[in-house]
Amino acid sequence: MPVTLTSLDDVKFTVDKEVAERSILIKNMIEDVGESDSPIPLPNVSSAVLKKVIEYCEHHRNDPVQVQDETDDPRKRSNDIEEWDMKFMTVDQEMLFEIILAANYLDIKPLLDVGCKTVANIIKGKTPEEIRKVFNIVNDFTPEEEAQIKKENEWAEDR
Amino acid sequence: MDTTNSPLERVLEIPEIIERISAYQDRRTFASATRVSKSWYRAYLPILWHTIDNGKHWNDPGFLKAIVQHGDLIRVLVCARYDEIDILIPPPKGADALEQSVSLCRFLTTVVMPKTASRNQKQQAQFIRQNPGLRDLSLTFNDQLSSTFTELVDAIGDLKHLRRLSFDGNRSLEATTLETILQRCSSVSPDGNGSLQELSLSRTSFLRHPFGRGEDFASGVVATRGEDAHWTDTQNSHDTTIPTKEPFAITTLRMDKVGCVQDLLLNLCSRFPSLSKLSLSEADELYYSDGFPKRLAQRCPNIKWLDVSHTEDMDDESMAELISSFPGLQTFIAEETRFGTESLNALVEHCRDLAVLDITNAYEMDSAAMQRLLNSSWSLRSLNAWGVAYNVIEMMQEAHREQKRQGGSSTLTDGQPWVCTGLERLILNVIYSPPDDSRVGNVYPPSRARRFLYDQLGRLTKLRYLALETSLEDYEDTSDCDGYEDDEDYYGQKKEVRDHAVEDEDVDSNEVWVDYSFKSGLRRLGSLKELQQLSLHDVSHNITLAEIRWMAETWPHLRKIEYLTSAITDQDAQTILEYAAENYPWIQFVEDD
Repeated sequence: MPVTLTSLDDVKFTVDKEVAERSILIKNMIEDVGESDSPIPLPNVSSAVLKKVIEYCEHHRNDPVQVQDETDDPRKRSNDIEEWDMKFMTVDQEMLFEIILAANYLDIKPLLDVGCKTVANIIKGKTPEEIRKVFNIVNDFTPEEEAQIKKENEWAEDR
Repeated sequence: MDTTNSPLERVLEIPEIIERISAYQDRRTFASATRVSKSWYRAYLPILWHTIDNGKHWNDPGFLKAIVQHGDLIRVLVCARYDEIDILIPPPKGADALEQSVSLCRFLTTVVMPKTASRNQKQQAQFIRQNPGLRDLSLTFNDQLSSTFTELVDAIGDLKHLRRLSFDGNRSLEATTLETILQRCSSVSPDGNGSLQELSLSRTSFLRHPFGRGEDFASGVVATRGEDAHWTDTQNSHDTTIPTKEPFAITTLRMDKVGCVQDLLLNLCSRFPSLSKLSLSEADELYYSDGFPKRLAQRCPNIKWLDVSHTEDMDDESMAELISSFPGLQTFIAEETRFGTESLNALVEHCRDLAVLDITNAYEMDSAAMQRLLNSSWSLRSLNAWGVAYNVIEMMQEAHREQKRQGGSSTLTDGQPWVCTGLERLILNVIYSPPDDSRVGNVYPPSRARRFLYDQLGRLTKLRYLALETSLEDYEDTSDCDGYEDDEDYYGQKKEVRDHAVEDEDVDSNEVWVDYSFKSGLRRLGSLKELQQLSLHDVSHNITLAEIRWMAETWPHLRKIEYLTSAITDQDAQTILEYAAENYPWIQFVEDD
């Protein structure tokens, strides 16, 4: 049973219902609308990003649906990423963050997790200057401001 | 370059996403992140300050300075030192004594307070008043009687959202204090405040404690015994009717590692008729008498979750009585106890809703009783019965008896099958041990027992985690753990198995046992489509590359196999791991947890 999704830039994507429903947002929309052929508009997601998201959902179409465990301690989550996912996430940074935003909007928790783990791994252990370099960020602090923050947070650097 | 609307900037503006990213990072990374740029500072500052639980930080003058500015970002605060309260809320000085000091933190949801004493209880009271959003509060009352902490108790009573209150390890909590707090925070009346539902008194030794035996606390019935009785004497404990008092809304009571007499427990529980979860884990100084279970059930008939693990005082019979007093039981945790056949029978007979059972390392048990459990527990989702070996022959005999009882013919089939098809987690040891009467061994040879086990397992289509240890005992044709090494052909054949058709099940062989090989009947487990984790702890198996390939292809959710390589030779282990890493990278092979 196919479903049509329309991106921000009006590109149509036809996918199996099972694949589309990896997105809880889309799943709920389908349930609300009932049986219908009309395409589902996704005005927050561009076609380039939607294409990637669909690729992820196709590959993971058989994964067990993650049940949100109340006792899930985030600190115990593993930092490991499957090889396919790692390759999938090897994209330029803009795309990386767009995928995260899309996964958040479309409510695809496993994809959001993979994206967040990827970013977390990039940032881990880096100095502020290294982080800026990786993401091309402009430092908008004055040297005095930055020195003050460093002093302020020194206690946290210990651990 | 204007980056204000870049995807990265947009991500930084969504706290939920930053929280998710930070779940995989450490505090040092948070500190680094705050220095990257102004938008990074805004995103990461609340993350950095969310949880403060490291006593060392209080020694750092930089920290003490910074907390003045950012204390309002703290949500979870764990205090260890005595004088931290002075830092968090300055003590009143001289003429300002009547003026309220301002706390550095006002939005805490969880706090573990430093030790309360008469010299700081006013400050602690003020601190609590300025954190009206508190949900989880832990107090240490060690030296002075709690009745001297009037301002503090008053402040706690005013909390509108308190959900959990802990007096773990206390030495001076009085019953009157508890009564006052519960009356204000755990009321069952519709216009009262019933937010407080969880109470913890773990690690408290109530023997010779100001709480007494709670006789003034009890409602409806009071448990008492003779005045001269020794504090551990339970023999004369009996119930006397008394006027009822207002009940409380407590649903969870934790009394782990406590030392107390049953009278205290009974009197405490008489005020908690809604109690559904009770933990008495490691409560080795809890002295019971006969009749305790019925008396407890009379007070708290709704208990559904019970943990009595790591206790030795209750024998099998008493535990059975406890179980039969709570037919609504859904979770029963009795790891390392004297849980035995009577208790297992009691569960089968009384607890239709049983979903979670943990009887790891319990005492020896009747295998037929285990079969009865698997035969009748429709709701069972998780069973951990590690430590006792269940004899599959006796299980099969019981299965046939049950089938006869139900009027079925027992000639060809395996008897009454397991009904616990909702089982998601199974940890079990099974042995094949024929009795001296060889006729029994002939009716139930290993080949039949093996098929029985595989077939029953095959019914558990919701299974996610499987750890099944099986061994063949005292059977003359038995091969030992490394049996396959003796069989040259089989061993030689393994190396080429990658390219040839795999072996079919050898249905009639009494030499092959449940070792997860094709020959033994692995394919009968093809229906376990939800299986995520397989543990081969202590299991002698005959898994080769062919079996791994089959598992990866047949069990789409398989993500982890534990202890695979400990039972095979180094070379084979290497080959298998390399092959698996290349072809099935999503499956983790773990050797020790």
